[in-house]
Amino acid sequence: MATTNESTSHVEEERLQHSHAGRYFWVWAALIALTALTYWLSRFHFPGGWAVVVALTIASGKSALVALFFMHLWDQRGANRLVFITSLVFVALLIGLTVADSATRFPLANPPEALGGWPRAGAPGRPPEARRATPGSSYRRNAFQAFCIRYVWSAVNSSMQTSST
Amino acid sequence: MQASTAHLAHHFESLEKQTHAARLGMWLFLATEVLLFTALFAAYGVYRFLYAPTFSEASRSLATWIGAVNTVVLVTSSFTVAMGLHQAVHGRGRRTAVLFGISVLPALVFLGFKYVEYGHHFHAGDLPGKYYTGAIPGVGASIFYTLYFLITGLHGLHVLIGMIVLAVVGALAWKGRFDATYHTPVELAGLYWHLVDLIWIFVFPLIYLI
Repeated sequence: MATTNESTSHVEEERLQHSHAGRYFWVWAALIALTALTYWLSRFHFPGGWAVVVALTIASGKSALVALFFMHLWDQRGANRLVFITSLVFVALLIGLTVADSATRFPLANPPEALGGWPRAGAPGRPPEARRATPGSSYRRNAFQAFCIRYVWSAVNSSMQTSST
Repeated sequence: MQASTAHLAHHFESLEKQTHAARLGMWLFLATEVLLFTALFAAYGVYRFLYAPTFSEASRSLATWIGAVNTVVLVTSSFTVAMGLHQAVHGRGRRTAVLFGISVLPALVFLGFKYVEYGHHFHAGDLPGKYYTGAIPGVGASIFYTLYFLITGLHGLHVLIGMIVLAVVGALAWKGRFDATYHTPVELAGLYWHLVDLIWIFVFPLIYLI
């Protein structure tokens, strides 16, 4: 076991000692090209959430180039890769679960003016997001739900106060 | 392999093992850095989901070309740092120092653009939280600028630290402290700088493009 470890690490060192100047240049050229591509694509208005998907896919490709070639994960086996991949797993968990939480909440649990939230009381200027997303009906429905929730909430509050005294 | 014993700490068996340990330690640190920024990106994800139209509008009001130019600037700086390591691997410390010096210049350009942008935001009232008095109405716009200043501010701080690290390691390389067998600080400074670049690669689309 020790001997295989020694030999693989020697191979790894040799790979790292090898000249990478040409490779660095092509990675740099690819990164510039992808930056230009994502800038150009951002001028188009993709339907739905596709702009986010396109921009983040290109960003993932660029970061993969940086991590693999500038940061040498391509040449380094084992522990360093494992550490980085583990951090990516936690990135996915942290972002995935928090966004999934907001996306699946009971509508009025979201903050005022937000998607699925109720309109802020006495807010000047802009109509809330919920109203702008689907004009008319959903705004009135949200306002009605807000009224119901407030009524129930105040009823619960007052009953708790009377029970405590 | 000829190990230069001057750099070998007594608790390591060989220079090779010491280099491996240093590299692994750096990757562990970089993983914590990734998660530090991920917390901010998660907050961005939640509020972007909740205030999608306002976030798009606020994002469109930023100067996209500055973000694009800054991306090119940082990517180029990463390339010159990688070339600096390439020279260090071949024991050419002076060239490493020159390339690290060249890498610091784009970072100054980057911070210069950030200064111009921040100045513009201060004048327009695009400030975080309760200080927001900008043109786009609604709660979402002030949250966008809170996250904007948190993310770009923390990243800018990393650029500043990275510049100092590159300058110090570059100066040591100029003095001939490293050779073909021992150049771990050059490699680790490079890793830090590439991570700063990698984070910007995600900041650019999130803040400027979508």
